[in-house]
Amino acid sequence: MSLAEVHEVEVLDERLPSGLWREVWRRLRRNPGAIIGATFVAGFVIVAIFAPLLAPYSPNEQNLSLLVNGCCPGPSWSHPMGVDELGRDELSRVMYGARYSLVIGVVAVTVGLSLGMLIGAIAGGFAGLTDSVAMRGMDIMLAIPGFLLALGIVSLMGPGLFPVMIAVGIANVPIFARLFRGTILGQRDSDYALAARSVGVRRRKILTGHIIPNSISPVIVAGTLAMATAIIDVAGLGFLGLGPQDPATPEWGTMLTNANLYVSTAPFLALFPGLAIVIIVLGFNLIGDGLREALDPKLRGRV
Amino acid sequence: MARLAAESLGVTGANGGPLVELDDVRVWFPLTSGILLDRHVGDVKAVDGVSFSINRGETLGLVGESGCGKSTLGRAILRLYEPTSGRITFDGVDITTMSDNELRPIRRRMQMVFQDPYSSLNPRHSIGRIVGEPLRTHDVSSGKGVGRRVQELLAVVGLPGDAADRYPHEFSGGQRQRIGLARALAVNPQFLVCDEPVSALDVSIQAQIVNLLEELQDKLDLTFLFIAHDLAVVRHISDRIVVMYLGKVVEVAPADGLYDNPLHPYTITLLSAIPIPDPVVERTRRPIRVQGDLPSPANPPRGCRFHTRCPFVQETRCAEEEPLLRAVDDHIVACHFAEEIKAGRITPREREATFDAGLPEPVFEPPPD
Repeated sequence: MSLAEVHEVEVLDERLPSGLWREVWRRLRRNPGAIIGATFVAGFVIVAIFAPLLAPYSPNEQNLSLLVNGCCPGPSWSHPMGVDELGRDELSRVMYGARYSLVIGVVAVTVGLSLGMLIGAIAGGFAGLTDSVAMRGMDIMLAIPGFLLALGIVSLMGPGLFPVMIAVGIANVPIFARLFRGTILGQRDSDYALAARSVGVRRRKILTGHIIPNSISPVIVAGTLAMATAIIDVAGLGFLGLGPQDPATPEWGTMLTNANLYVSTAPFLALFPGLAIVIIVLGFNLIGDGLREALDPKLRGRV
Repeated sequence: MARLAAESLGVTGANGGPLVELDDVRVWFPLTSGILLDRHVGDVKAVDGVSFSINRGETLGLVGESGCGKSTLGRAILRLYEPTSGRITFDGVDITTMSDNELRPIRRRMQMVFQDPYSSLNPRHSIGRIVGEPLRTHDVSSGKGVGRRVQELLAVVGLPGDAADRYPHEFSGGQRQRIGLARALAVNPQFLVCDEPVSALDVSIQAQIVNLLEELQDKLDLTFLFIAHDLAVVRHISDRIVVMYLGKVVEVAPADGLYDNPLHPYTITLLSAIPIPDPVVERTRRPIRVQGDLPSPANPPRGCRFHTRCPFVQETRCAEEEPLLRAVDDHIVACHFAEEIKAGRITPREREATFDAGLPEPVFEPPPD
C-alpha cells in the first residue's frame, strides 16, 4: 500500500472548525436556553454597570411626602415599582441591588472555586494519604447543610456583606473540591495521560498540561450553577439580618427583610426584589445547563 | 529445538540476541478496603510469573482472551505499571526498578501504540502538539525543527501535512491510530508495544494499519510486541506467538507452528473457535469449546490454571500440580499431557458449564479495634 493511496482513502473534511472551545461556543450559540440565560445575565450586568445612568432616582433619596398612612404607594408612572417605607424609589434600589448581587455571586464563587480546585487538585494529584485526609475533611463540611455552614461562619466572623460572601464561598468549597478531584482521578487513568508517561513527560507536567486542562470543564459548569445558589444564599443570609448592617444598602435580601413588615399593605416591595433574584438565578442556571450540554463529550460531534 | 526453547525462555538468542527479556515478571494489583487507611485484603494477579524474551527485529505476538493480563504485561514492560516482582531487561539494562529520571532516556527507545485511538489522544491538543510532544520532552529538536519533524512523521504514517493544525475529534479511528503511531515513532524507537492497535477499528481499516506497521518495521528496523485477541491478524504479522491464560504463559511457538500444531489445550480451543471459511467443513466439524468464564485472577485455580475449563482435563495431576513450561517439539508448553493430547491418547469431552472460581474467596476479617 503506497502512501499516495492512503491520501485518497482518507480525505479530510475541510469545513470542520478547529479547536475545542470554538466548537463549544458554536454549540452554545445554538442552544436557545443558553441564549435566554445569557440575555438575562447580560441585562443585569448592563443595569449594574450603568445603574447611576439608568436609575431614575438615587437609591437612598427619600421622599417622605409620598408616604400615605405610614406606608407606601404602589407602582405609578413616576415610580414604576412604587416607593418603599422610607419613600425611596423601588426601581432604583432594585437596579443598584444588581451591583451587589453580581459582585456577591462572583466573589463567593471565586472563593469557593479557587479553594475547592486547589484542594481537589492536591487530593487528586497526590492520591494516597493526602487524598484521604483532604477528602474526609471535605466530607465533614458536606455533612453540614451548606446554608447552615455559611450561617455558622458568618456568626463567627460577624455580620456584614463581606463575611457573608466569604461564608457562602467557603460553604461551596467541598462541592468544587470533590468534583475536581473526581474528574482528575478519572483523567489520570486515561490513555492519553498514560501515553504522555510512556513518552517520558514528567509527572508534574502531565498533571498541569494534560490532566487539569481536561478536568476543568465540569468545574466551570458547576461554577456557573453555583453563582445562582450563591446569590440565593447571600440573599437568604441578608434576609436573616446577617447581611449588610447599613439598612440603606440596596441589597435584594436585605430589601426583602425590610419589606417583611409591609407584605400585606405593600406586597410589591417583596415582589420586585424577589423577581430580580428569580430572573438572575434562572439566567445563571440556563447558562450552566447550556455549558454542560456544550461540553458533554457524549453529545460532541452531534451537530 | 533446545535452542528455541532456551531462546523463548530468555536465556540466549540468535539474530543479535534479545532486545527485551522478562524474567518471572509479576504484576499484582492490591485489593484494599478501609475508611481512612487502606487495608490490603488481597491481590489481583494480572500477570503472575511470566518469562520470555523478544529478539531484535522480530514481531512477537501476545494472545489470550480479555482479562488474561496481556495488556497489563505490555504496559509493565514499558514501566507504565510497576512490576510487583521479577526482572525486565531492555537491551541488557535492568529497567525494573529505575526511577522516572533514569528511565527517561530509555523511553526514547521503547514506545507504545494504544488500543483505543479515541482516548489515547488528548482532545485539547492539536495533532502537531501531540506528535511533537515526545520531541520536546527529549529535546530532540526545538522551535521550527519540531514542526518539520512533525510534517515528516505525518507523511510517514500517511497523513496530510495540514493535519498538524487540526484536533483529534476531526479524525476517524484509522486516522487517529496513524496519529498515535506518528507520536510513538517521533523519537525513533527500537521497540514498539502495539496494544491491540487494530481491534477498535473497522475491518477495512485494520488491514491498512497492519500493512503500515509491517512497512514501518522493515523501513525503520523495529521490534514489535503485538498484543491482540484477533488470531488471524496475529498469525499474519507475528514471527513467534506467546499464548497467555490468566496471568501465565501457556504456550510459546513460531507463528505457523502454533496454528498448524497447537499443543496446549487452551491454544487448541482458541484456534478451534475460529470459523473455517468452508461451509461444508464448518457445518460438520465439532469445535472444541471452552466452558464457563475466566476464573477470577484474584484467586486463580490451584494446579493448572486452565483445569477448571479444560476439555482435556485428567483426574490426576491437573488440579494439584502446576505444569511448568517445557519444550515439546519446537514449542514451549505448560501442560502435563501435551504429548498424549497430540498423539490423540486423550480426547476432548464436553463438560458441563460450571463456575469454579478455584480457591475459596479470601476471608474478610473484621478490622482490628
